[in-house]
Formats: sequence, structure tokens, C-alpha cells
Amino acid sequence: MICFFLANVYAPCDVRGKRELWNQLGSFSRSRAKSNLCVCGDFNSVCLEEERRSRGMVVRGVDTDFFNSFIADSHLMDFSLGGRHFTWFSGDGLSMSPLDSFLLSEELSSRWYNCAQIALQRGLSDHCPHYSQFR
Amino acid sequence: MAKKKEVVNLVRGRKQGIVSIKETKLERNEDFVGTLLWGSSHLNFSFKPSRGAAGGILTMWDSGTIEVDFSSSFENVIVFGGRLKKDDMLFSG
Repeated sequence: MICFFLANVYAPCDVRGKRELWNQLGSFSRSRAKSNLCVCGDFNSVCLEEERRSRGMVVRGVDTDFFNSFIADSHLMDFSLGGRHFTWFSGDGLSMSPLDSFLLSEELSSRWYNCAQIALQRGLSDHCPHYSQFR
Repeated sequence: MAKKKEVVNLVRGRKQGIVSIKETKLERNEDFVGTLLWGSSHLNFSFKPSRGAAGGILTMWDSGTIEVDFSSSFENVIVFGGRLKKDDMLFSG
């Protein structure tokens, strides 16, 4: 039987709240760096600023830097999303971002190297449901 | 109400291993969580209430697929550690 850890995350929208979250989650992830760890969530952040489509010119560079540092320092890997590019849409349909994903520890990603995450069509929620088949 | 129905259909549409739901807007573990127990007595869950209508996280797992050893939470996060009993698993979010 495979032992594993799972963290289900719902990140706040404000930069300060997210910073605290990345600190806490980073310590948790590092303490399990050699384990099979999956961090799944609505991170309310993106790895690349270009991944966002926004109606306004919003500078969120610091936010992106913190998120990337958290992923790198926690030795986690983001793997590609299939099905559609964005997982979140604003009510007016003008802004969209890939905010949801599964991050895997090195150990887990080498075990489940051929897994992919698939985002499904969005329904009533502003987020698309998504799933991943691990085998 | 329509949103809840949509979630129930999504969850029941596939044989799930783990389901994680964010922004549940549920302050209490109400009947809705019970409704989601995809018609199986094999389902367990870990629930973090929302603050008013904001936030709320729910993780559910099929105990036939996963044996959970511990479950805990901190601000904005639910964590658990367990063992996978099968070779493959569907994880939905």
C-alpha cells in the first residue's frame, strides 16, 4: 500500500493572507519532502503573470513571486492541466485564470509520472471542476 | 440549491477516490454533506466550516480506496495522511 499525504487548500485573496498560508503550508510540505504528498487547491495565484486574462492592468508580480517561491521551496511540482486552460472565470466573463491545480512532491510525481489533471466544463460555479486519475 | 444539485451530480457521476471542495459556504456540517455521501457507507470526510458565507473546505474520501491514519487542519487547509489500498484512484476538486 502506498502511504501518502494530502493537503486541501483554499487560499485567501489578499496577499498578506496568502503569504502566511505559503509559510505554514511550506513548513508542512518540507517536513514531508521525501513522502508522497499532493497539495490540491484553489490557490488564488498563478505561476506566470501571463496566465491571467484580466480586464484591468493589475500588477500582481509580488504575489506570483511568493507563490513560485513557495512551490520551489516546498519541492513541489505543478503538472499540466488538460481540457481547458483556465479554471476560474469572473461573473462578467472578462477575467479568467488557471487558479486551481494539483501540486505533487517529487516522490509522488515520479510514481505517478503519467497522470494528468483534466478541467471540465464550468457549471454554475465560477470555478471549473477538475480531476486527476492517479495510477 | 441548483449549485448543490450540480455538485451532487458531479460527485456521483464518477467512482471517486477523493473529492475536495473549496468555498463550500457551509458554516455547519449540515445535511448536504450527508447527501454527498455518494450512496455509500464507505465515505468519510473532514470538514472545515466557513466564516459566515466566506470560505469553507470539505475533503471526502472513499474508505474502500483509502485508509486515513490522521486528519487535521490549519487556517485555509485540511490535511490528512493515509494509505492507498488500490493501484489507481480518481481525485476530484
